[in-house]
Order: sequence, then C-alpha cells, then structure tokens
Amino acid sequence: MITNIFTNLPKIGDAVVGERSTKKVKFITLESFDNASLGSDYETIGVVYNRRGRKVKIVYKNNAGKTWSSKWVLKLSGYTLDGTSRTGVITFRPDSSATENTDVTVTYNTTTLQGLVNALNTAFAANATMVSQHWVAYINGSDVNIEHDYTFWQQSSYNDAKSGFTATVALMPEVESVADIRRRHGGGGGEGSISSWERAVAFYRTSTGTETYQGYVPSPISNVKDRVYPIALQSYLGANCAEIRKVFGEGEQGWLNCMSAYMSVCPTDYGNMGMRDGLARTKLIASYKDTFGEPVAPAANYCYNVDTVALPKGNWYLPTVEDLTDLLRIIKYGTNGSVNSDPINKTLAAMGGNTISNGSVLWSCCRYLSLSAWYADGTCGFFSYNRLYGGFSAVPVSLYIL
Amino acid sequence: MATQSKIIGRVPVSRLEYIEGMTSFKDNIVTRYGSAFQCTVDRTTTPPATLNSDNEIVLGAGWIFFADASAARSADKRIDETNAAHDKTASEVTALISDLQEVPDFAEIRLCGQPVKLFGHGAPSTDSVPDNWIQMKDGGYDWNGVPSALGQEYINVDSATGGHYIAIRDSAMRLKWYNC
Repeated sequence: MITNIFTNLPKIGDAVVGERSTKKVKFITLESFDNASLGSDYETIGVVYNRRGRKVKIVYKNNAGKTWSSKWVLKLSGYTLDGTSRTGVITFRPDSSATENTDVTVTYNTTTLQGLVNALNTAFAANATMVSQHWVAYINGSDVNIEHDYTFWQQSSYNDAKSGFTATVALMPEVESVADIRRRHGGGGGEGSISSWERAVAFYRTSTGTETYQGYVPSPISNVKDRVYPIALQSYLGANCAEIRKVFGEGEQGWLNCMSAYMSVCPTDYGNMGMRDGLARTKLIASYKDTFGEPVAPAANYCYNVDTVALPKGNWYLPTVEDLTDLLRIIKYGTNGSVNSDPINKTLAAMGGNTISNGSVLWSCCRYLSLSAWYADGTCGFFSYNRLYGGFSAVPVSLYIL
Repeated sequence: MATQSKIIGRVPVSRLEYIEGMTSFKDNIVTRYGSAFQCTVDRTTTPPATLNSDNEIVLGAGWIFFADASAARSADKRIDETNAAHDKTASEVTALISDLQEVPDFAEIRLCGQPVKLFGHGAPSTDSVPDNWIQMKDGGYDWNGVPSALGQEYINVDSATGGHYIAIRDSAMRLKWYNC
C-alpha cells in the first residue's frame, strides 16, 4: 500500500505535518498516514478536525491538564490616604476545608498609595497562610491591587475586604464574560447545551439522579424551552413529560428527538458561539503576568506557546466554544473504547500524540463570569462553567487558511 | 446629400483559438487554455494569457476574461495529478467534484443555517415565526425572535414602510434586530 499520500484537499482526520525544508504545512490522508515511514524532513503537527471551504481547523497532537488562572486578583478601594492612622480588614478563607474566614487587620498612616501597599504587605508577611499563598499588594496605575494563588473555589467566593476597605474582582479585566449559548429549541442561556452528542446520550440514557442538570424533571413541563438542561430518559418516559412526548414522540426515539432540542446551535453569530477570535483571546489571556512577571494563565500560555516548524508560536490557541463544538462533533472515543472509532483519534494515535476523549473535560478560552470559564463537560456531555483555578485539559488548536 | 460613414462602435469579434504571435485588435475574442479572453487595447501581440510555474492562468496585459473556466482547468490539473497516484483516484475525484459543486445557488445560501433574508409578519418577535425560518423539525432550529447571524435581514411583508430589519450585535455578544 502506498503510504503518506499528500493532499491539497484536507478532510477531517487527515494528518497535518510540517515540511522542515520549506516550513510549509502539508496534509497527508488519514487512510495513508504512516508515521514510521514519514521522512525526517517532516514533523508531525496534528490532525484536521474541521474544514469549511478554505478554513482548516487543526488540533495539536499533544494536550495537557492546566488551570485557567493560577492567581486571584482584587482591587482595593475604600481607603483614606490623609496621613492619619486608619485600619481596614482583609478577610479570607484560609483553606478549602475551612468554614469561616480569617480576618487580617491592616493599620496604615500614609498619604500615598505606596505607603498603603507597604502596610498591606507588612500585614500579609505576618500571616503564615498568606505567605504560603503568596499574597502581595501592588500599585496598578492609580489603583491598589491584591493578588494571591488561586487553588480552591472558596477563594473567589469568600476572599474580600471590609471595615474600612472594599474589594472588587480585578483579574484580567479586559477579558469579557459572556454566558449565552443558543439551543436548537430556541432558548438560550448558560450551562446545559449539549457539547458532545455521544457523551450526552450515554449519560442521560441511564441517569437517575434527582438534580436538574442530571436530567430530572421534578414537575410537569409543556415546553422544552422551560429548562436549560437535557431530560433524562427516565424522566422523559414519566408523567411530568407527557406534554413533551406529544411533541417529540413516545419511547426512546421520542427521547432522542427531545435530546436533539438541547444541542448547541452551531454555527451562529449569537452569544458564545459567535466568538471566533480564539487566537486574539488566548493571546490576551496569556499576556497577564503576576507581580513576579510570571504568566498567570497556564492553559492559555500552554496553547499559545506551541511551536512547530510550519505553524510556529503565535498560531496556536485555547479553543473557543465553537471550536470545541466542531471538535466534539467528530470524537467518539470515550463512549467508544477504540481510538479508531473516530478519524481524529485514529490519526492522533498513529502519530504518537495524546488522544482526546469525549469523557475529558476541555477548557475553552471563553470566560463565563468573572470567576469562571466555559468548558466541555466529560460526564454529562454539555457545556458548563467552572472556577478558573480548575485543572482541565488544554487542547491547542489552530486555524489554517488553504 | 453625400453619404457619410461614421464608426459608432465595434462589435466583439471571435477570432477562435489564439495562435502564438498573432496580432489581436480591440474587442477581439480568442480562446486559450479553455477560457475566452477579450482584447482591450487597440492592437497587441501579447498573448491573452500564459501559465505560471503552478500551471495556473496569468492574464496578459491588455486582455480581460470573457469567459473564465480557469477553475475547471485547475480541477483538471488536480484530476491529472490525482490519476497519477494509484489507489486514491476514486476518493480524490469525488472530493474534486464536491469542491466544484461548493459554489452554491444563491437561493440556497444560508447564514448560520438560516436564510439570508427572512420574511415575516409584523416586527420580529418571539411569537411570530418568519415564513421561511427553518424550524428544528425541518433540520434547523426553533425561532426565538433573534437573528441567526450578523447581517441577516428581516422583511415585514405586511408593512409598506419601515419594515426592514438587519441583524446587529449588542454589547453582550447577542444579536438583535436593527430597524433600518
């Protein structure tokens, strides 16, 4: 059999390689790709996961677990710099198991921002927990910010200021938050729209949980738009979904018809699916540094710094919600135990890369709220959001124009 | 009164297949490489087109396309290259045919899965589905009063004036209708 046949018309699953001598991107058909016989002039890069006309979406051969943000940042206000003795309190949750906050009183007597920052850092240095969490205050333009390590969710909920100070979230202020994905049933909203059909069907076919996100329908509904989460088969067949079954049909086929109503509408320019500037977003997120000059966005930095001979650094980014939809539309590995069950994983495995399961949790570069970002959930198969400290898979992708 | 002749224009004249070195005159039409070209200068011996290193058509100075079949030519070239490879001919040819067919009929062009222009009754609202919106049961997704894509248009067919809307984006990345 002839191996490594190059093509100018790449399709989903085709291998993407870089030609070292020319630094050009080349495509090898999925059926003929053979890593062992690929010459030394070629570097494996990844796999085609989507193509619309001349726009080819490529997923990198490797991925890694990364947090979205390693730091939490607050802007301090409410202080008075009049040269008299004043106090304010920084209140924080010391660890994930604590049920109450610890208060640290800061005494300052100054007329300058620097004087206040010095007082804050003196107070932080005297608290062992704050030292271990790398609390530091600094001047940011005309503001005073406080940053610390972000490793558990309670930090973004309970860390605050009071009694002479107030605090507001100041992490990556230029990165906008949008929490709206349109479903095929016409409704929109936050988490719950299906990201992976295979995963969602597998989960909701057998789910017997009593939470709404688990597909439970606690009371009669007459319109699927009345809920943002898919409906589990068990609930669909129950009395509370009698009106829904009149629309979508009886039995398992009716349930599948109903499930399709919760699929994310893609493509659309509406809401999060309209965010197609993944590279610019990732570059922005990756640009943020802490007071020591270190990047604070591990997932974005990991993706942005991927460097190959034909697609060098600056071409790779953390996927948008739309990119994840296009990727997961193809992936069957996970619900299917074979890496050869979908063309993307077949080629990833063939080139010795990291496979991508629909059971994995995949970060996007799209911020949900100030303290959370969108991700594709590998349990329920829907788009969800998580606090930024979470360690999920960062899968670098690139957009190549033929 | 003596008869006077006046040239009021020139009708394009087909000169059939281009012959190397021939002189062409304004509005002559010649063919080469499967396309037709019209001369735009008074007189020239410049060929209407040549082929570059990638075997693609390069228009000659003083010429315009009269009928451009270069896409078919490049498809021919890819078919020739494809046929040179032994056991992928069928799939590559299929892909080429699909590629040529990707140029859609205007009536079938969609914006994010929905028609470019929507025709409805009254101002756009959740309660009134445009006549040509593709609902979920028809393979699309259900109407909720909101556009599917930027630039999509909505025409209120019941209004003599002020019934033209166009989709724009609001500050929260959502879409809304702007009454033109």
